[in-house]
Amino acid sequence: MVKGILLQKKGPAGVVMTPDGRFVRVLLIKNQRTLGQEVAGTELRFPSLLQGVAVASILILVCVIGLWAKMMPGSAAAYVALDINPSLELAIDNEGKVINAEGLDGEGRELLKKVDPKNLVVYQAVELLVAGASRYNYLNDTNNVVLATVTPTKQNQKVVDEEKLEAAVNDTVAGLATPVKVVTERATVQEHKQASKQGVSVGRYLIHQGSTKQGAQISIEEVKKKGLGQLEKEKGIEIQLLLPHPKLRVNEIQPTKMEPEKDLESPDAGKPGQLLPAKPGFEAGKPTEPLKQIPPGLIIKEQIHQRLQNSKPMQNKDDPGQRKQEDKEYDEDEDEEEEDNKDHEKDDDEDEERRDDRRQKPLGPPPHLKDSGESVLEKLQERQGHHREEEHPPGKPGQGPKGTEKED
Amino acid sequence: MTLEQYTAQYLNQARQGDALAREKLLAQAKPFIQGTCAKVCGRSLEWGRDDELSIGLMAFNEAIDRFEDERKIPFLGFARLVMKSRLSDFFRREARHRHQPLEYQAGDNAPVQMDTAQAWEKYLLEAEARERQEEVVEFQKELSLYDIGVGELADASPKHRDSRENLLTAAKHVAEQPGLMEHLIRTRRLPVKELALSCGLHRKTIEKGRRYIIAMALLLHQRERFIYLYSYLKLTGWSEGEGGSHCG
Repeated sequence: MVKGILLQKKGPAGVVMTPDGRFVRVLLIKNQRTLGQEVAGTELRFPSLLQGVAVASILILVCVIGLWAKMMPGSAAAYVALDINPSLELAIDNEGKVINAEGLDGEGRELLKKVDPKNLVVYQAVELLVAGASRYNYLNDTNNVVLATVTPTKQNQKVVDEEKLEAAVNDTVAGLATPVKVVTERATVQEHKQASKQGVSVGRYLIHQGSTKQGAQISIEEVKKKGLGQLEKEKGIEIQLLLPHPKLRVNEIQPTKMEPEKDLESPDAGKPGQLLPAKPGFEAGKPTEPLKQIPPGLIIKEQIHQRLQNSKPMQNKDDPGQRKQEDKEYDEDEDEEEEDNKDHEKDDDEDEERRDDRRQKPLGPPPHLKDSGESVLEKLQERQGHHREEEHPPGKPGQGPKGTEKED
Repeated sequence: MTLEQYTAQYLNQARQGDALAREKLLAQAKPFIQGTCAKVCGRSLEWGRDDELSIGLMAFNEAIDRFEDERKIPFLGFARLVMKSRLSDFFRREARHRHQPLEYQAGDNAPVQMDTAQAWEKYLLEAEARERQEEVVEFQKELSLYDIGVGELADASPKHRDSRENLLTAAKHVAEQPGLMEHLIRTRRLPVKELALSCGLHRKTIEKGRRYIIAMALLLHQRERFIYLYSYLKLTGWSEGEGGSHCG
């Protein structure tokens, strides 16, 4: 409150002269607005230019940051790295939606071109991607491992439920003809950073790390280039054993039947958490050798073969004529090739060669859709409904995936 | 000593019946009375020649008696009001004299004397309010001669007490030194260099507070013109401080 002689008034505001010789702008009280009279009023302080500038700049800053945050897509709350053979990574926002999908290798990028998981809930996205992978033949006999690695960006944040994720993948995979091993894994942010520095997916990075930790050398290059299933077979490892805390589920596969003598020798060979050479009593008969020789791998390979035999009885394995025919049709007929691949034990070398072939020249989608793959994809697409209808028109029999690709 | 200082010194004594103090006060107030009367009449007056001056002197004397501190009017303002009212009474009477026969003049004084106290109060309040208003407007006009608006003055008036006192001292210097004041009135500019020399403030400080110094110097210099404003100021060390010695 300032008291003084009113010198000037403008509406409710005025200037008074106080007894101590100050001239002050005041807000006048009603009925006290005669010039020259002593009046009282509350002092009006106009902020100085400097203050004004400061306030303005702060306001502008806040606005800009707000706008910027709006323009930018919401930050990822978690990453889900999916390693089929194509490696790709999905960035998940707080609501569990995919805000960005990135292929980590050529195949991954190609798969993303064909199947767009953006703005889907992560489980649907993963289902779609796995279905897509199997449809475009990335998921096959050689590459029959799906590794999903969840990296939450913040601790204790549960945006992506691993159980659900696994269930989603399993649902999709269940319909496939090939047996597929599904492994889910949780990684930390640091590991994620390291992995992206190396240019591999987190899952693969973890495999590499796990392998070095346990003595089995798998170089980053190998991890980068080879499909997981392939790695398993070549190196004779089981990836779930290399990962810190994996969850494993293998569909369509009855618990692996161990060969009796091996069962005796190493009763828990198949259990996770025990890399085979670490077991002292293991393979007692043979001289103990460094890990690189991978004696246990052989066992696993055999197990896999066994598994394959169990799951799918061989039909044409001893028919040379059929074999030749298949060779001829190799390039265009994926289905047949699929069958063909089942004949592992027939000639391992040949098998190897073929795999190499495929690595050099990844096969395009088969001209005829695989029945099972198609049905799963269709199922999914129907479930996701309208979003994707224009991209993959469901239920057009006879139309190959290549046609679909062109539409894209 | 200024008239304000005389009044502060002698008014109470005179009111309590000190004839000598009253005499001194009246003697000191003569120029003030002359100026006020001349302004009211609109022509120059001379002692011993014009009746208006004696009326004014009588009114000033009356003001000494009637003055009340509680009114919160500066004494000189009050005296001026009384003088004005008495003069206007005098003019009215004069005008009537001109047109009316002599025989009616005898009883003329009566109604004036019988002014009720209430009416006087009312008149005083109204007159005071009007005078105050006029004074403020006049002050604004005076400032506008120097290109200073009241709003600008509010912006320019220093908020800090120390800097305000500094500028006020500078204003006092200007008001009290005829050379400086004359320079200010003539050129409408502050004699910054001379002022810096005489009051010891830095040139930049003076230039910054230019408007405030001018306004205050005008107020201090023409304190009889801006009675209400001037009397409202309670400047430290003014009434009996260093100021008086300069003035002579």
